[in-house]
Amino acid sequence: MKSLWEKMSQNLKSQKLLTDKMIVQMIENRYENKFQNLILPETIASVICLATAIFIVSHFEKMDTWYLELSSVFAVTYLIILPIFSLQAIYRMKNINISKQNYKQTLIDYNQAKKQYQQVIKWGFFLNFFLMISVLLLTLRIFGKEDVIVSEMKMWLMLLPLGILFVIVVSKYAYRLSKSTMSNAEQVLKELDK
Amino acid sequence: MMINNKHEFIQMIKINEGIIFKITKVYTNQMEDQKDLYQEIVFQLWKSFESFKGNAKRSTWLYRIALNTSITYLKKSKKNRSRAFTDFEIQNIKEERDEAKEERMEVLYTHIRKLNDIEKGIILLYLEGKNYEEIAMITGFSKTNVGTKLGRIKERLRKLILKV
Repeated sequence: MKSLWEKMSQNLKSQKLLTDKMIVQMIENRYENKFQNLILPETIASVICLATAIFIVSHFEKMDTWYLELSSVFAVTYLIILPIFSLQAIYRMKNINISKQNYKQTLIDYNQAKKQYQQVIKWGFFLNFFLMISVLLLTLRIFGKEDVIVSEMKMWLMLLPLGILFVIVVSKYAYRLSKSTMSNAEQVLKELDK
Repeated sequence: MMINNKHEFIQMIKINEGIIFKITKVYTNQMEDQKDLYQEIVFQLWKSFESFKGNAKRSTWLYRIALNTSITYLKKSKKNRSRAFTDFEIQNIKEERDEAKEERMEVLYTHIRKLNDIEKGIILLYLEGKNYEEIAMITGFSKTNVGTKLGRIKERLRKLILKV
C-alpha cells in the first residue's frame, strides 16, 4: 500500500500542470466566502422572523383568549430562538481557525457545529406546523375576526387532520434527512474521545 | 501583499501541487468537487501565507491547512462551482501511466474515502511518509494515540481490500 502510494507520488511530482496564471486566478478571484451561500438566506430569514415576532408582540393586547395568548408566546419564542441557534451554528463553522488549529480541534469544532445546525433543522421541521397554525390564528385575530376557533369551526375541522398528516410526513422526511448527518458527526465526536 | 511574497507563494504551490492533489482526491468523490476543493485549499494557504512565521515546518503548516480546509469544505451546488477557473483541468493529472497500477491506485483511493475524517487524515499522513511525531504534530493526537489508530486503520483497510 505504501510503496504503491510512493510510486504514485513520484509520478505526480514529475507532472507540473499548474501555471503561475492559474495559481494567481485561484487566489485573486476566490474572494467569496464559502459560507455566504448559507449565511445570506439564513440572515434574511432571521430578519423576517424578528419582524414577525415584533409585529405579534405589538398586537398582544388584542389576544383575548387563552389559546391566542399561548399562540403568541409560542410564535414569538420560536421566531426568536430558532434563528439565533441556526445563525450561531453557521458562525461557529465559519469561524473555525483553519490556519491555527490542529486537525483534531477542527474536527471537534466542525462536528459540534454541524450537529447543532442539524438539530435546529430537525426541530424546525417538527415545529413548523404548530407555527403555521399559531400564525394563522394570530393573523385572523389581528385583522379583525372575533373568536376565530368558533367562527371558523368548519375550516379547523378540515385543517386539523390535514395538518396532522403533514406533520407525520414531514417529520419522517426530516428524521431520515438529518439522521445520517447527525450520526456521522456523533460518530466522529465519539471516536475522538477514544 | 508584496509581489515577491506572491512569487514565493506560487513557487511553494508548484512544488506541492501533487500533495494538494492527493488530499483533494481523498476527501471528495466527484471531479468537480475535487477541483473546487483544490482551489479552496490554495486560497486558504494564500490567506495565511503572510502570517506563517516559519515557527513550524512549512510542510506541517501546509498539511494542517489543507486537511482542515478539507474537513470544513462544503459541497456547492453545480451552478456555484468554480466558474472562474475553466483553464484548470484536474482530469489532466494522471497519477499512473500503467493501467494496472492506476486501477490499484483507484481501489486504494476508494477504500480510503470510505474511512471517517479522523482515519482519512491519519492514513494520508502515514502514506505521505510522515512519522508518528509529525502526524501527532499536524493532527493534535498524541503519539501513542496515532499509533493505536493507525493500527486499526491499516487493519480496516486490509479487510476492505481483501474483500474486493
